[in-house]
Amino acid sequence: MRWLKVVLMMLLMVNLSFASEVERLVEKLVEKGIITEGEAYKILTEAEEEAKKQEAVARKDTDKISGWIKNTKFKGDARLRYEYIGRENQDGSYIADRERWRIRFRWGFDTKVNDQIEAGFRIATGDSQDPTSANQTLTQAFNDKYIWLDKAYITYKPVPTLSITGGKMTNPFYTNLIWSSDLNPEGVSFVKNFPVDEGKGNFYLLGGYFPILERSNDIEDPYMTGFQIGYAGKIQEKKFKAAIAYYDYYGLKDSKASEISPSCYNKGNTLYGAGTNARYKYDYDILDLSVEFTPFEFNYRDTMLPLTFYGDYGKNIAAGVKENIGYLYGFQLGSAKKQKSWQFNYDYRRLEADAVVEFMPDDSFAQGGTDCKGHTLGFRYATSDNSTLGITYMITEGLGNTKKVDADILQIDYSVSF
Amino acid sequence: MFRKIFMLIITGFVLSGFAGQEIIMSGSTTVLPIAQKTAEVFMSKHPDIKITVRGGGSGVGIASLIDKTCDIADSSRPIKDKEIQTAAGKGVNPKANVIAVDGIAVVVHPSNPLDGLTSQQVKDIYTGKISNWSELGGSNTKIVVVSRDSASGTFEAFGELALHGEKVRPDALMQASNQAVATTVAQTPGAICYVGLGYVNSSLKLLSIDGIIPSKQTVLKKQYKYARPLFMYTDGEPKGIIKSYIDFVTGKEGQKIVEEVGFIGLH
Repeated sequence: MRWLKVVLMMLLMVNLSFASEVERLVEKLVEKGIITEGEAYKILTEAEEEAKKQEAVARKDTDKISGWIKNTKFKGDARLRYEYIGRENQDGSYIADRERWRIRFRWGFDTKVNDQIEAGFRIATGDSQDPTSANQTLTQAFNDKYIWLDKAYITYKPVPTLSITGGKMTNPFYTNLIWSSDLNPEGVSFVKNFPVDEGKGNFYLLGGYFPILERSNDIEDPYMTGFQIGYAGKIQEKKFKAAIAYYDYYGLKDSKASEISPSCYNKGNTLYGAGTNARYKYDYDILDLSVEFTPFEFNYRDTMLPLTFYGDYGKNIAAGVKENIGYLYGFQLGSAKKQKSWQFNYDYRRLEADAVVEFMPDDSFAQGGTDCKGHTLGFRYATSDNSTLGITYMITEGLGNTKKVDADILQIDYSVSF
Repeated sequence: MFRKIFMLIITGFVLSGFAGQEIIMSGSTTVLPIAQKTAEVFMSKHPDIKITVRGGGSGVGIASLIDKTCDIADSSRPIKDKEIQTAAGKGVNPKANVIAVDGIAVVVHPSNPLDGLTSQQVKDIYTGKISNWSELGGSNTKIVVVSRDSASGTFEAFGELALHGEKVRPDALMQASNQAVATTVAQTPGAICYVGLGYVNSSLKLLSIDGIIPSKQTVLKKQYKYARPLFMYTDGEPKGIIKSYIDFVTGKEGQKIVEEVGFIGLH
């Protein structure tokens, strides 16, 4: 009878939905007197148990993988960009315009190690190690492009309202002006939250220590400490966010700019010396106030369009710095998130030569760095959920402290996130 | 001389290969009577094989099999997925060997006019929601609930199959054996009880459950609710002396013992 058991078992293992057919077959065998009812019971029960066992063993491997997958969030985005830069030297001498095609691709994951520990990782494209940009220009006869380590960090949450992060991390500081959204600082930071209004609002205290350069022959390495106190939530049911921050750079003054940031120097700060030997003239101790407020929401063709005003004011309070102010004000109407939604934004900014360190701000406006001012207009349309088509036009001027060119920049982007 | 010593050593090895072989069995208290009796008879037929039988419950037996501290795990329930996965992680392949079926009959005093109950009514009687036969269409008589005591495998099986884990009402008369239960019910007009199917006799009235009369046939056809297979789990297909023992239990002689101790045999 062993052969019969094996056949029935195999049938059940292939598909448990065969169970009723197998039962009917066994019933027939009993009817014909080939096996007894007791034998039929034994055969069927053992076959079912064997099939369930095979399933459980197979599920064990799947569960092992799915357990990790369940605790892991994969995130990525891709952007195709056409960019035209119309340039003019401030002394009127000729400088060619520029046209380029660029891509930006970022992909990574956050994973929960246990209830208190998370780890994250992201890779990104980039022309160079410029911390303010992950854009890769399409050039050099189809050669392969670089992928860089964009983030790698561990977060420890001893209690739900406190998190401590170490590594190359998502920028914990909120700002509308002084940090590029592509920049991911390195070091150790903490955030302590103080939820209010039944969790609708949150005060937070944030601090961190961030090494800037490690010299093998010197213990006195440059670093930055930063602190921010802020609130994010609602005031009379209107979205509101504000924060004040202080960033204290140690050891930048008199350091070689090319040594501090090899791919992002001579972009507006006051330097002394020439070429790669040029050094920072000033210290950078920056106070910054950022705010945004959404006082209105308009109903346009059954779509709610939030109107958000935002602004930023920063000042380098280090001794002796003359061009030390940066500010921005602007607004955004709408929000391009769901299919067929859109947004329009405008802002004006002025970022004096030494208001911040040149490797901090956005790399697109005035081609990156400081010592510039100008307007930004943008329109973005969500062609589908998670994909947008956008056009941005920037009219920028150098402030004259350095030889920064005036530039009108057109960017057309197609972006997807996944 | 050297040749003699060599032959002695070889003979010793050969004899030691057969002598003192042991099977360790552990697990279900329900299966325990089958295991003890069959082991006893099997050992009398194979004096060179020693079988150690331990109780502890199905979970203990399966855990011992997984930990490789026993050869056979007696179980009154199928192995759980989690146990299978733990076993797989330790390189153990639990193989289910069905050796008997545990069928539980619900019986009343022969004077009781009812012929059957629903499974919900049985549950309500045993958990205390129904206390008088008149609530079920019978005479105005208090229901005397009789149960096996908590040490018995039948108590455990009834709790699982009929009460779905709920507790037996506190005023139930707890009896230590199937025989004591049968005697109590036979002498008490308002009594109800459950016994192993093998213990039903003419002094008891057998009730149908959800319209199915308990019998070997309805149990083996999986029509009757209060029944469950009993297992002896081995690590993979049984081999050697373990196979010999399992074959004995599932063979004619073993199955006769199964029925003698009150369970349903597979022959």
